Amino acid sequence: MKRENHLLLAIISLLILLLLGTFWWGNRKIEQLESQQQAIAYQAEGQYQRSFGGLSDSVSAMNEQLAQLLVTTSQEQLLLGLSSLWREVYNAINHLSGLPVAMNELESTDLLLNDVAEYSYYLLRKNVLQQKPLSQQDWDQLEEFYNRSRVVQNELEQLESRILNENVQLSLISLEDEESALATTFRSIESQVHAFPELKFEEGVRRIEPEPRAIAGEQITPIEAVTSADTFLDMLLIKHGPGKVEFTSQDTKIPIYGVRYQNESEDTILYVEVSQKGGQVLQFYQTREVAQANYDTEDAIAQAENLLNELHFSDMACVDVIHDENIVDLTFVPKMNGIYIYSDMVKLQIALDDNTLLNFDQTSYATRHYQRQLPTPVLSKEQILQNRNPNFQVETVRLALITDEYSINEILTYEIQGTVVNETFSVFVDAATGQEIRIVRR
Amino acid sequence: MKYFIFRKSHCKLISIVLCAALVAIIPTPQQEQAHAASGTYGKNDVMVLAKMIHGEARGESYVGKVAVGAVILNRVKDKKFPDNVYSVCFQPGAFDAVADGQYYLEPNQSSINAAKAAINGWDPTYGALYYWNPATATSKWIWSRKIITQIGKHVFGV
Repeated sequence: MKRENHLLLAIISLLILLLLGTFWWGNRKIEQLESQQQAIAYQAEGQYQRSFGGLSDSVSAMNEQLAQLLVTTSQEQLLLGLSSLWREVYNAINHLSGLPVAMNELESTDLLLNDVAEYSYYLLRKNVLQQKPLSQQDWDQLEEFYNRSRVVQNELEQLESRILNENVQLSLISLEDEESALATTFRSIESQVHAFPELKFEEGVRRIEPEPRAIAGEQITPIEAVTSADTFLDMLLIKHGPGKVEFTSQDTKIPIYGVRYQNESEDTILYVEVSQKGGQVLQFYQTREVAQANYDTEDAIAQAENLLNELHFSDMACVDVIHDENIVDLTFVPKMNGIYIYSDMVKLQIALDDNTLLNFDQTSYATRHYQRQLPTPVLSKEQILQNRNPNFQVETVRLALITDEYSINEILTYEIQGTVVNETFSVFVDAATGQEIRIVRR
Repeated sequence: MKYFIFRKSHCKLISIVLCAALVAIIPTPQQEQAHAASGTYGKNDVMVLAKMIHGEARGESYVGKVAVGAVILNRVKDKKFPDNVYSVCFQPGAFDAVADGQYYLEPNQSSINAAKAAINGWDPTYGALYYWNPATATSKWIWSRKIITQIGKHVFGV
């Protein structure tokens, strides 16, 4: 009896010990896990704090730079000041993008920063490249930027000291919580910047995307869209089953119907996008696996030219070839009077396994092409080729009509294609003034 | 819908799988040049975009996947967002797939194709900057956005 009691007692104490041990072990594991999670959370928080502090600092530096510019007279200081401003504002934009997006309360601040970035780059181009002095309007604009960024800077500094004094963790801020004090402060910055009237810049400051020309024709019904898509596929001898309108875009620059074809075999699905006005096919896409290449780039170009003929495009020239595994992307533009019209693009993607069309996109052509009065070049090819950079091995020269990045104008240029080291470049030179307009890596 | 719960122990495995996948798709020098020629996107942007599409929309139709890729690229072009694919995808809080680790899954061929199509210029959303699932969207401000179109479960807007 006594011995059994002893044994029982020993077993019970062992079990209790084991149980306690398990508790202790489990608890330690939980603590470890918690501290790991804490460490990760602090790491994320650290990134946010860094972004916020960085934003506050660079807005302050930007503001100081703007003030300095306002008292600058000499050309050298102006150049240095503008480039510092340009650098500082990009710093600020970078820090802003590191903050949680939930803070889209800072949208107007973001817009202000972008305005300053664009304007400082514009002034650099104007002052340094075109050697024009800053106009009174430019000085006024800088002063306006100074005033606005001063407001943002003050608010950010106040916010920063609150974050510091109240030990606010940015990762825990919920701006959804309307009552949160921090949300209110963010909104206050936003409302103050928002209260400023929207800045209107003269032409040349902003990069612009040309507005698409409206596609002519009547509004069509979804059923007519399917008919248009059918006709397109039939012209290109692409087999298809019945199509149906899968989506309809509203309120877009070019309203379209998206027509979807599902073939018997699940692996090929065709999409055709038809403009709601005029029922033109703008894009065609299909998804399928592309097998080993049996054709080469030359075959693909010949096939693309053939397809363009079927679609009644005329005078199109291939200007860009991108070869990616078993697929070739080709860009065609109209060539008229020997001038390549770059804005009116048609893109075709050819699969090299059976040399057939994968994708087709004529959005640029459909929304940009019209019968232009084409200018004639003032300078000759020989004049253009004089005094080029000796590193640049010129291969071909041709006339190209390109769009200006900062206005709606089109510029007649000589496109000089050539190589330097292992790179191919196109240099676009104004055919009237001889000025280098753009350098593009091919 | 969660198919996968991301744990620390998966990190290593996934990174090995991803490295292998990356090595498999790293283009030859000739192709690198070709990508550079297409303009603003870097040679690894296709993969970043594919992973994002896979994490965000792998249950969607092909066009729904391209649409998600197009939204990311529209953000890259828009002034209000960062100016490169990486920064747009990893903007804190921008995409659920980054927050819940689904970004780190290996993208399938369909997602990679969708990423390529988006980079090639297909934008079924015609300029949308946002998308959300009307069934699960919790944020109030998202409803203030103008809706352009609906593709699958997602609503696209500006």
